[in-house]
Amino acid sequence: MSVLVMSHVSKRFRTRDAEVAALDDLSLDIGQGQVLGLLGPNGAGKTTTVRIACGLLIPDSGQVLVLGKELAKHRSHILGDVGVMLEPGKGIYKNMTVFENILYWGLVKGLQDRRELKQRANALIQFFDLEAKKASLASTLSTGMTQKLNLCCTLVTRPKLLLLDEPNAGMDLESSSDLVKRLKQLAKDEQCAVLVTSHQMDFMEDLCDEVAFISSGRIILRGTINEVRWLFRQKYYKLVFRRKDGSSSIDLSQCPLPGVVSIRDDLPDGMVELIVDSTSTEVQTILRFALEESLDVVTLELVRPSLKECYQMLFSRGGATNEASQDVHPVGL
Amino acid sequence: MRQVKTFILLACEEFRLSLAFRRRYFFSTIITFVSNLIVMGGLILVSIPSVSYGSDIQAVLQDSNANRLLGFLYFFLGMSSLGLPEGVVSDSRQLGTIDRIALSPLGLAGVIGAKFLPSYVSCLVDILISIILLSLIFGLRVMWSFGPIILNSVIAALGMLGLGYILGGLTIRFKQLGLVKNLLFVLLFALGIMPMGYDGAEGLSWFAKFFPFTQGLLRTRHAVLPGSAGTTSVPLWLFVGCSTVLLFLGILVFSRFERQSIKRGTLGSY
Repeated sequence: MSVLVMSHVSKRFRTRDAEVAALDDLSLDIGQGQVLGLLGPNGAGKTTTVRIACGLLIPDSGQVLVLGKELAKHRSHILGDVGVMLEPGKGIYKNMTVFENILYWGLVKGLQDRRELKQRANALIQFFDLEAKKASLASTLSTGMTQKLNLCCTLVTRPKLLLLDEPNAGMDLESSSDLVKRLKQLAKDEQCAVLVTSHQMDFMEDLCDEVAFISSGRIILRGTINEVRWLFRQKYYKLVFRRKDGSSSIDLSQCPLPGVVSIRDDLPDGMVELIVDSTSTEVQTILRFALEESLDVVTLELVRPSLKECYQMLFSRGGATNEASQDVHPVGL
Repeated sequence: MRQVKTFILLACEEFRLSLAFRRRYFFSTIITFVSNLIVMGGLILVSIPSVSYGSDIQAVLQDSNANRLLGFLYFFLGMSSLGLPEGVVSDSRQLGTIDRIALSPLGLAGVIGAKFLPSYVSCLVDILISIILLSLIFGLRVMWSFGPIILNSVIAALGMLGLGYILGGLTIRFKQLGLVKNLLFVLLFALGIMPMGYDGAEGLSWFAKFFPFTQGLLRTRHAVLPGSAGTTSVPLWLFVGCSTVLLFLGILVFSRFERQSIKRGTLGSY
């Protein structure tokens, strides 16, 4: 079942001088337990999408359904099931303690059973390793801990739809990967749909089941991480092998395999890595070479770029709406 | 019904938090209290002449300063109610909590409403203690009848909250307009404190009869100041009616501006 469905949503902002299309006929949906990442450059429409999805912004046209109900008509009923974290480092009261903040925002969101609210707050504090800071003022927390507290305040109502705008902003690598682990567990355990935006591609690659690339208010590509990487695969094979005689040095000029573009022979355990141009050399040729040379093949695969490289390829060609969008499948794979 | 329960629970939590903040920031609470006491005492002191002109002038001073004590009560209550919505909007914009508040099933107006109870109670308690102390220090005679004081001040404060909602709504739309409250504070100060004696708020006759701040002040004065029974008062129905109309009008205006800003995407710092 789709938790969030946005159909043909458009939003324009009017300034004194001009009118800017923030979203242009955008459609997307997220199912239960699914984590969808929204990727795009600044001003692409990510935050506008998040704000429209939670009812903080009213679209000019199009429909937003949350849990099968139209958001515009059932806003006050739906809001209890939607958890939103906007503006990194903000959204909490610095003069309240960690525990007070979670209780307060639970009440603001309409939770009425105080005992259950306290239990939930304690569970979240434990889940995010904030026990030592439970009675500390929010102003004393580090950036990473503030983000964790922000998440606790968002999750206290057990939302079925979680909208996170740059949740790892300001976090160090360790806290960020810790957050990925916890968010994945939450999505799995509580079956909540998550829409997340971030500019940190490693974080998104680790966290998301699917990613959608947005540019000029339109989703130009959507798919699982592997699908996206496959779509942007380089035209190279990577062959990793060991020589059966144990020697690992190899000379590029002496290599009988055609199309070899690089050789690395400094890998552990005497392994050698060859990068071969797939347009000039077929996979059969590589395998034949391996057999003839009596190589112990470890892996042979097409080189796939990281999500960061995919993003750079998509958005570094003078805008995704131009050349890149012609190379890729328009929406979905 | 669910929203009413949420509102009550939130109001209770706000009250509990306001008490916790008083304990947490005790020194600052005491300093604020003493500062207000000094200002109020100073205003009374400057009206006492250094040379006594006999028993008549003493009686007039007694009446005018006893009036002023009630003026203090209404000035501070009116000020806190009037400034509440604008304060919440401005502060939460700065703190970045406005989006989260707007996503409450109660809406921004509802959450501000829930903050009214602790704001009213703490202000009332502080000012009552202050004016009781001042009446003892300066030997002013006031019949401390708390029923009329609380009833009239609640109704007046709710009316002023309505006016505050209008101001808060304007702050959502025009960010700098919240500063208009400073001008209104001067008006409240003039209405409550500056006029001496019986002719004070009543001097404005028509305005005083329909403005919750002056309505409450006149009614309370009638109830607790000995010898003021002969002056004009305001019927309860008119007082309640004016405050209710202003409160609902305020919420309506505020909600309209809130919705408009959500449509335009200008609610927070967005």
